[in-house]
Amino acid sequence: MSRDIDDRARQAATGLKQAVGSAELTSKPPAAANRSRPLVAVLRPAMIVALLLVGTAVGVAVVRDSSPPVTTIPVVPTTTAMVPTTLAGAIPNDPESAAPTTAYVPPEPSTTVAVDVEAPLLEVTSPEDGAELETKTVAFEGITEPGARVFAGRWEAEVDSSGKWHIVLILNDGANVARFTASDAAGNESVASITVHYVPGEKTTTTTTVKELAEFTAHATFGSCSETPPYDIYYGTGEPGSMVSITSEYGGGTAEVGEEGGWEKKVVFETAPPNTPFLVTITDESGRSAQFEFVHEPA
Amino acid sequence: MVTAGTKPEPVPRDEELTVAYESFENFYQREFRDVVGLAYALSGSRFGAEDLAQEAFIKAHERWDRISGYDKPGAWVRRVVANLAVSRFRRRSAEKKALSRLAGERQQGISDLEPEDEEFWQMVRDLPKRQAQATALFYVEDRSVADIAEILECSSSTAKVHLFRARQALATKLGLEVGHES
Repeated sequence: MSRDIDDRARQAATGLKQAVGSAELTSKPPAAANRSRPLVAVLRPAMIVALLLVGTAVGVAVVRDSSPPVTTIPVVPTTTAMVPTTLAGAIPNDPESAAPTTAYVPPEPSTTVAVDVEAPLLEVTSPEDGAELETKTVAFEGITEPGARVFAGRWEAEVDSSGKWHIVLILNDGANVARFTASDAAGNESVASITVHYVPGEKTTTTTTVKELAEFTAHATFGSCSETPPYDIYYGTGEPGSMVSITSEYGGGTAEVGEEGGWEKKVVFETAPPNTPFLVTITDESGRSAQFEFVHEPA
Repeated sequence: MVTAGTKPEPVPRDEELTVAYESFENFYQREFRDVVGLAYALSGSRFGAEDLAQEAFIKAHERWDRISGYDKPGAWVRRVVANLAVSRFRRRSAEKKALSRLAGERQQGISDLEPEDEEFWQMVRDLPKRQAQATALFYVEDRSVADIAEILECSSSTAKVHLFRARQALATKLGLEVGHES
């Protein structure tokens, strides 16, 4: 039976996956130094704290502002039901059970099955409800039933074998509601939520006359392109409201730095010669600049 | 401290209150190895593949606050690595960086492919770049035509044409029949 190209391709893909799958990859997640946005700057220390606590990477989610206050969820007693799976009684053809049908035969322990209808324990132990925090990134910790899973929205917390859990969340300014759910293997769920307030630390009030400019960064997305005409997407950070100009021998453009300090610009190099690297210069209004090489490599 | 223990009931999941973006670390851990595989298929460089993937992830990391809001951040990072990996210029640079980094180290990186597989992927790399990218995404990553179209930023019909032509060209070179996939 002749093979077709799909069989051959899948075989080659399997070989390639095995080669990569068994490799000892040495790369680590990019370091904090590579992050250029303010959000990122506060993320890493918390991640380190979380790593120290649990020894593994943690999930990070953003908790958005919420206006309605959260009330404490009351503790509701729970019950466990023991449901018999077979009826205890006379067994047909068993001489010993050929007794009057009114005879009482005590149920055997093995004829019952425990059905877990108990919602898992869910406690938030840190931070305290109503806490005012000066750090934007906060490790939430608590306790749940061993084996249960804890979520903050769709993000799952790390839960250790004893039921201790934690997850790192990023707060917005003001009041933030963190809502957690715990679910056990039987599908029972518990909910807990707390409100914490992010209160940025007081800024220093020195009377500086020269305004400190926001950090200027610039990055190229591709560095090369096989499309015709070729293009690249440049991005970075800068002083909010200022302009960034991108120039090269074969094309350029300008980008306005947004309110959050980020900018992005797609630049098409209409007349770029093939396979000839050239320089692209990015400059902000204060003269800070960065250069990148770009090459058009037609398909 | 807040304690809760309630009977099972639908849990309200108010997206306005919680959530939102996957952590970069989770994303990296889940996707990195697959992206290295894609880089390896398209670059043929077992030294440079990891660096190409790392470069794409660094770019994602630098603007994760924006990319994490995309429906498929994985598509974005694959688009970057697919472009980097087919570029001779970028490939050389990544390979040079990787070799200098590995010099003096005794790490076991990606192993050599079987000669037959190496020959196959070399044929893929000899295809026009878009066809090579579509082929690697289809077979290495098991991506659908719709996914490939999204990653390569083209229409589904264009992605399908790239894939069809690639399979036809490979089948001709290898003396095989064109299958029925895609």
